[in-house]
Amino acid sequence: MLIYLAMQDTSCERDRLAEIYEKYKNQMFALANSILGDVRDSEDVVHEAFVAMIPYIDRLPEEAAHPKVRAFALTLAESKALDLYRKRKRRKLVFWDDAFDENTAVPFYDPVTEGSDIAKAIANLSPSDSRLLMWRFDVGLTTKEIAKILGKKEGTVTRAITRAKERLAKELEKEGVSIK
Amino acid sequence: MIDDNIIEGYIGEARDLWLKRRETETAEHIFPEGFENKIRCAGGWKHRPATKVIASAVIAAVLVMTGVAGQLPVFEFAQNDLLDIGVSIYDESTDFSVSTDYVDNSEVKRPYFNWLPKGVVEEKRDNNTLSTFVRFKNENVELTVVVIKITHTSRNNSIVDTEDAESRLIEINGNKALMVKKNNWTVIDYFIKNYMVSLSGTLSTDDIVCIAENIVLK
Repeated sequence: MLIYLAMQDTSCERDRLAEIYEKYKNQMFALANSILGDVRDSEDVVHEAFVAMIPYIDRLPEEAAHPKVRAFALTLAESKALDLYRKRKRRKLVFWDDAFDENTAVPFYDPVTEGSDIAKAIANLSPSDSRLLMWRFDVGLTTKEIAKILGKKEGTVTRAITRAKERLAKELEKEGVSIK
Repeated sequence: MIDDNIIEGYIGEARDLWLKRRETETAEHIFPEGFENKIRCAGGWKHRPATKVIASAVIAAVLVMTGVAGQLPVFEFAQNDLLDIGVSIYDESTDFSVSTDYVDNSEVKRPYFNWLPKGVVEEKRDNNTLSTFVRFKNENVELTVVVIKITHTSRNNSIVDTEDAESRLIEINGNKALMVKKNNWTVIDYFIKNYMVSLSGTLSTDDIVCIAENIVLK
């Protein structure tokens, strides 16, 4: 891709997807590889994640460096990697996505301790819960669009978002945070 | 139940914290050749123009003097280290005659397609002694791909309708390719070593380029 971009005659030929690809391909690959531990599988994940991103490019800020773009790219890569991880039953890491059925995720990353209570609680939710909330409320995807990305039924996604919100409320209640 | 407005109010900050949780050192990963093509085709990225320009100002000057400057891409396309490509330009068409001294006794390679636009399916395939003919079709568009092996014992002639057509030089996976567009018809001819590949049809130019970039001969 570096070669490809270098060969472009004008900057206008570097469309947004190419820019996003250049910026985040390595991060997406690293994230996928940390879950899968397999170079080829991780490359497939990067490919799948980019293909999944294409229909929603217009929803993202113009600037490729915007955190919303980065988060969308990484959540897609994480989601696709976990899908593959589940499919192939590779239990190389003690890390599991709840797959909408039960919240069994074991935090792989250190929980954040800074920031406001509600934001912190969202960021510390299980990967699938935080991802769903970000796609729904940050990127603004509809439940139908999320269902399409995940290959699930819309009703399943709607229920999953509801459960994510319930878990968030529970978490905040446990921490004594008022949400009124 | 937590209100959506509350989540919306904090989601930006939550996203930044989420990213912070995943902050790691990232090394450069070298993706395999052809990897970008797959994404590029899926994303509709523009195909790249040929990076080479006509190398010899002398040739260009001669062509201008002889009144065939509009055929510069054709002449550039005809420069090939392995093959002898003769070009005859007529009012209605351009004829290519391709021959070589190159000896290739290996089994003939057939084209395989790693990417096709959605809905386009292979309708017909003829595997001949030195050539392969493949036709693709969907409801509204069609594409024909012909791959011909050129060896010291065989030569090939091909005719391209270049009357009032737009000709230009592009690159397909590093190979010079001649693209001729006329109305809604696009032809792309190029060589992979001693194989001539010709794609022609009514698919969009970008789609034909992407198909060409994802052809594998084996």
